[in-house]
Amino acid sequence: MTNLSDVSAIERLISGVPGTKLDVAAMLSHRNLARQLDSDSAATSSPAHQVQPTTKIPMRRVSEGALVLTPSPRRPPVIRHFEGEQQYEGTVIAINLRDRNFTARLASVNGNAPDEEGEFSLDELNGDENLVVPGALFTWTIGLQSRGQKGQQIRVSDIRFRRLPPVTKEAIAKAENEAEELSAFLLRTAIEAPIIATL
Amino acid sequence: MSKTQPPSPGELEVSVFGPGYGESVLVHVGYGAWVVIDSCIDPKTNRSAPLNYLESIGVVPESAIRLVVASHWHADHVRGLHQLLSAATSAIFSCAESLARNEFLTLAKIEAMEPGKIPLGPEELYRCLTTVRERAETSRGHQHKWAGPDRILWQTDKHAPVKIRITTLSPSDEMHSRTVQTMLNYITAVKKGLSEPRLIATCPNDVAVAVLLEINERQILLGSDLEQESNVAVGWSAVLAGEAVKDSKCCAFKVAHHGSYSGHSDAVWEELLETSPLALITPFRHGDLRIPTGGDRARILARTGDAYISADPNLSTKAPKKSGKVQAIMSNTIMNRRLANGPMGHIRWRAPINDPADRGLVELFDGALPLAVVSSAA
Amino acid sequence: MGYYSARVDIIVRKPARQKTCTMQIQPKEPDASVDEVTVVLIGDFNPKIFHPMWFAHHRILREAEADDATIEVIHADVASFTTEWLTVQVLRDRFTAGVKAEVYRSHLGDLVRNVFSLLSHSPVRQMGINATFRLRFKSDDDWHAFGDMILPKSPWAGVLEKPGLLSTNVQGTRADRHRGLVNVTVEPDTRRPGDASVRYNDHFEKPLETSDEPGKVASAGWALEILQEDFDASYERAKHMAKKLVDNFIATKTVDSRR
Repeated sequence: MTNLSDVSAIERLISGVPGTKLDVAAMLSHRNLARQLDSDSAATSSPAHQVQPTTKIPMRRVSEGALVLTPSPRRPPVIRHFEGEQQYEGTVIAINLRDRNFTARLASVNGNAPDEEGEFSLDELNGDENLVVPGALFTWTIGLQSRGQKGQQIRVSDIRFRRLPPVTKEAIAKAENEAEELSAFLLRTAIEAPIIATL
Repeated sequence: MSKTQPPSPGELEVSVFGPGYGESVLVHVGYGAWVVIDSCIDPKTNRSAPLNYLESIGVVPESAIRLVVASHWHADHVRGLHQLLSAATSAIFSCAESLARNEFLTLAKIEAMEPGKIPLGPEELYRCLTTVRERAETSRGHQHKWAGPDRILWQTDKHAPVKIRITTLSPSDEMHSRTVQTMLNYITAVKKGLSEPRLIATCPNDVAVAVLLEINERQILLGSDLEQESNVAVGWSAVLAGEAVKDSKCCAFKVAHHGSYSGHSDAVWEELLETSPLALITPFRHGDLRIPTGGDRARILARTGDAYISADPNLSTKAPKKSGKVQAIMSNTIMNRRLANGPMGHIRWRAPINDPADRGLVELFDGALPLAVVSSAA
Repeated sequence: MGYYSARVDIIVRKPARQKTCTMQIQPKEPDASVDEVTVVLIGDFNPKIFHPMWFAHHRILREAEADDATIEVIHADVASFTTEWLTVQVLRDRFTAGVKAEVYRSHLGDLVRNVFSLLSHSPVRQMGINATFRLRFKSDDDWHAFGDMILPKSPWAGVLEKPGLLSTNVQGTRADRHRGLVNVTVEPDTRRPGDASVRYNDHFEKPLETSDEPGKVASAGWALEILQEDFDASYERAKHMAKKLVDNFIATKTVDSRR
């Protein structure tokens, strides 16, 4: 994907897209953009959505016409590569609030190994705690991560719960139609009398 | 007797498979005809355990399996069932009628939309019923019959060398109505976004199919996960009130609901079973839950000393270690990492069909053991 | 799947007397890894709403991740941010989300589905599910031979001096019921000789309006349905394609190369 850390890259990207309206000159103006970002991001895009104002983006002037948004130094570097040495798909079986853990069944993604089980702490889920319900799915990957521009390598264990979207009305309707068709056929054609078999 | 030796034509066989999570019952009713109730996965091969076994004893599933019954939709009873049914091309398929209604099938279809490597019960059943339809639409003709109270599924004709009758005893009409209502309520909740579209197995089990097998003079009761409640129109009470079990005295019993208290009925032991029948049990091991408990085992052993269980419910097998650095990281994340299942436990009972006095031989394979020697819970 | 067209970019390196010839090869299987998985939607969007905190507010992203996200720009015409594992870029007519690590692929699918479940009325005209694989060849000879297999050099004799493959894009028809195409792009990595990338683009077009829905405004529903049913299958097809290309390469005994 395009690196948007400099305005020239943004210009090139946008210029190739037909119908894009962008006041590039305004974008190049440091002060104008800062004001615009503050006001745009504070506005609601639709009644349901309130976006938090991004008033605290630190910015620095590199040279006239260039605008760079400086990331906070505490932000973790981007994962460039993640070699999964062991990967599981987990399903929550039970939750033990007293012991602050949950039990999960694990299906190995690498190969056909038998299912496993184990307990995981509820306190090490990095914000996924409220997703832990019986039946919830998660991925658990252990492997070597390559991070940042210089490709710093670190072996990690990553548990990440699936944030599955709600089932859409269309999907439910489609499921209902298919189920209705199958059900009607099966109920209509089932054998009524006892089956007489020969040996 | 070698494990891979098939039964002789005149030999009855009841094989019960259960590795800890999962149950399957396979019955040779005579002369090469087999009946399968439920399926589970053999952890070694990741295939349907009854299918594996039949192939290992040289039985050809396509012609040999005559009847496949899904006793209900719970994942521990149906994993691998579609694989089995796909191989059993001559088989009649049976399950509770409520599972063929659009309410259940809609939920199964919605559930199947979501990803997951561990297959879900309803999805497995949906696939089985789709296969049943595909077969019915081809020249093979209709091949399904619903289970219900006192319903004769399958019986031999008058010329057969063995007199066989297979009757389903449940679910009762009341259980059927409850299931339909429950599914309707569930779909409504899913449509309103009030519920995740994931069917959770709840008690009581309103779709469990208990089966009575009559093979010449012998009677065998397969209890599935049928439970006992105070309502006489459901569960074992409804079965006992039926006509099919009148005058029944079964010599063997696949104990209901993994030997749990909720599956127990004194009346079943007293009215439907011989004194000291052969009792066959599969455990249920899921997370912290371990059934049968010590109390359950004592209760069963008080009824019969001839009781066997396919696997020790309290046995926990450590999962194999991974390579050094990966293991170190895993140890810091997961506690008590273990195999979800032990080996595929297998209880096999064989007896001559024409000699009901001969109690036959019970063999135990791959971790199956007498109920009396099961270890205490840790 | 038939082949409709091939677009080939050729560069001229330096003038030299070169002849093409048939060369015997014994290639070894290259190492393969996933470089990137992306989902691109073409339609009408409002970039300024795609702030990380919007994702967190709707529980599409962890709050801490949204907090720590590196925001390049959030503007009426363009939005772009990255988290540890994810990159999102939105223009008025293009939404792109991608991951570098294959282990996050399922989470990428969940994210895009979540976004367009919330923005289901967004008009979406096209969608691409893309996977890029990196092939690391065991030798320079193998790397060159792969390029020779993809682009035989004989046809370029007398046309260009020392022709070399820069990029090949091959298009094929879809084998399923969806409208669209399949594109495969093969590019040697000139910055890292010995590597090549193979990009699989599963391209979907909005279904044609049915006769009982004339004039119905396009929405994201059709794309959501495909993501629901086909996201994993698309990746399997991509892996199969890459494997097939590698298998064909390993089975190749001769290539049409330059001396």
